[in-house]
Amino acid sequence: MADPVARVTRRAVMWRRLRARPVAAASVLVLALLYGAMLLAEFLAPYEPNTTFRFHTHLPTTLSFYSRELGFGPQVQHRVLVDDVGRRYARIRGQHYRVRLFVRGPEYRLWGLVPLRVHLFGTTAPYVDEEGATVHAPAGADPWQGTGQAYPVFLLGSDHLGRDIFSRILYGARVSLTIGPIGIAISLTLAILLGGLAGYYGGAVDWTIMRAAELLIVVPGLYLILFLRSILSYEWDPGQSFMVITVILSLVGWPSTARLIRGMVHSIKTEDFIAAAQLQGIPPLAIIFTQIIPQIASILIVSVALGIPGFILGETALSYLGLGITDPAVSWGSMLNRNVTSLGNLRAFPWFLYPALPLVLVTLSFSFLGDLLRDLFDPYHQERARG
Amino acid sequence: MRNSRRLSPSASPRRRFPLLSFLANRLASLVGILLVLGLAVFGLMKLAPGDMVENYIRAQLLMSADRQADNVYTEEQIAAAKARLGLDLPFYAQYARWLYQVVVERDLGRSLVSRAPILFLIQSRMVNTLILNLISLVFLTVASFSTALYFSSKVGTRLDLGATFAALLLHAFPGILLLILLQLFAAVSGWFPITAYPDFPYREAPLRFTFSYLHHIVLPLVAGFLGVVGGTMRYIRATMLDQLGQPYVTALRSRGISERRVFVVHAFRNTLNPYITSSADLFAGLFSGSLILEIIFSYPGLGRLLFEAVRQEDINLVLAAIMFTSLLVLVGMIAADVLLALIDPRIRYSGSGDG
Repeated sequence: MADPVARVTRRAVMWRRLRARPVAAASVLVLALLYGAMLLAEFLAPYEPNTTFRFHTHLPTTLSFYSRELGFGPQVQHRVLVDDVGRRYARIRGQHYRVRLFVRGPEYRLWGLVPLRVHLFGTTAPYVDEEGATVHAPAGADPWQGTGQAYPVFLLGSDHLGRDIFSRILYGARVSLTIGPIGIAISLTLAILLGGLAGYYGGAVDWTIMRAAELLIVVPGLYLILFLRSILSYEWDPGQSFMVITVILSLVGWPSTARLIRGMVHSIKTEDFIAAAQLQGIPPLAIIFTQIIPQIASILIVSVALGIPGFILGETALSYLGLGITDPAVSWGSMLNRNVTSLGNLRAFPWFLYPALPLVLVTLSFSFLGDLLRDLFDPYHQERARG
Repeated sequence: MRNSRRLSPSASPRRRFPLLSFLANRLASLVGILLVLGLAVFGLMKLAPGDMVENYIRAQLLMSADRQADNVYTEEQIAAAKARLGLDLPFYAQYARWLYQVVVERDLGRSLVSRAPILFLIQSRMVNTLILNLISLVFLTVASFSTALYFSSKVGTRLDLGATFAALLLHAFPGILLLILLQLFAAVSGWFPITAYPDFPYREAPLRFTFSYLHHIVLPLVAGFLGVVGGTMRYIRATMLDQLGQPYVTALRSRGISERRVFVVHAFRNTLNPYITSSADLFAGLFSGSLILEIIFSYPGLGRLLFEAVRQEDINLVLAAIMFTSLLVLVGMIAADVLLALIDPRIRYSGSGDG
């Protein structure tokens, strides 16, 4: 590995494989784009996740590209609610607002540092209520606090409270895209520690740890998650509930990886270089982390890529059931909450299902990426797949 | 393989009834795991920072004679109620009491919300969940074995590539979304009911119930099936290819045994072992998947029961539901072990019976 020539050829091999597998290459691209969008969420999203446009709930996408008045170009037509029950809107002829790039919107701090007001796109027309009067924020408050100030452009429609689904998807990515990596970091640490100790020491330590792992495997995953969720009471602020969910999912996720690691540590333990390290008096934990783990790093990388979708979907399932991320906070799962995506809602407002789109993209991408990495790193699997 | 029987002459008397002693061994480990699991569950409930116990006591007081009009209780009243319910005991004592209740008195207590006996609630739900998952398992096994066998004979062709890609796609597709989409499909097309259970009891019209049940359960089964089949098919295909690369297959082929026979009789039989071994995990996975399924299609199974219990903070019911689900999975694991011992004599005689 340390040999530069070997590294170069390895990289070349990786490139060749990547080009030979367009799906895997596309997955890498999709992931890069989505994570990039997550980092720039405040700038890309025209509104904040909880900005409500009271007079424009349940709207499908409002962006259009042609009108007689403004000609070609992105624009929004004025809409007024006509049917309160069916949530139907009338388009007002002749009232169009141009969608401009780099407009002023709600204030934010990019990456918590740079205070900015500029957003990628939006309109500059003022937001008006049903009678046509301009909506003003309460005196002294941030003009964007709680309610919209400019006439809204909904790229992917608005939800049942009049919030922009596109903006919410971008902000929701912060939970949905980070829960996987953080969760797998926790569960992998647990798995390495416990699986490593079990494999290294054997005997009673091994027995205890593996029986504990079996206990967790016996209870079906979601049942266990629901149980753990139930013994931790409901009242959490968004940050806490994110952490609680991540920890629960990690606790449920470690045993299978620990089993894998235990087996491999067990077989590597007998190698001479481990005996040499032991003779030098290096403590066992240090041997596990510095000598044994690097030997199986490639397999761990694969299990990371294949494990991340499980965390994302775990959060989605919990939030879908209303036990995960809840309202002031937003995640793709909470946008798919079963009260929102009820049958009646989905039949009338199918765009409520848009948050599922990035979800599918991300889980598929991680799976394809994991598959590629496995072919690249895992010689046994590769042999088997080739026949 | 045939030699292994002669090669392991064990003098121990336990070895005279290998399958029975194996079974006894597994059952003992089942009881052991369940006991420890129960202890862990009780311990967790005690250690948890939540106020579930407080809520429980409040709910109990609400039902009892010394109910206060404003539902405000003094510390003494709560402490007295705690003592009466045995909640002031350490968790292992509570656990022992619970065990005594369950095993000796066959009573799981009552649900806090519906006041129904929990044993009654669990019994019917358990049967439903079991039926659902067993049907899934059968379909899954048949379908994934037949497709995997077929595509492993076509290895390297475009067809095989397409099939493995489709399997990966299915495997990676979010199951919850699949369920939502299928439910939407049922509602829009009107071909299938959007609930998964007939709206009349079995006794009323057994035959009609059976047909109605089958009609109701098609979509949930399809959902559960599609969610898992990709993974199992890929797994079996990989094992199959693994077997086909073994020397014994070359030997068979060189003896002029037909390719069909090599596949179906020899290689296939050797894929059964790893499949059954992993089917315990598969079974747990099916259970896990059926939880959301039961909720979305309002199927009266254990998963929905647990979900409702969690939402209503019904501590007794949560406990019972989690224990009985684990019991089902454990029984499934043991069934897999026994099946394995039956079809693969190597297992029984190698004495890997520790749990």
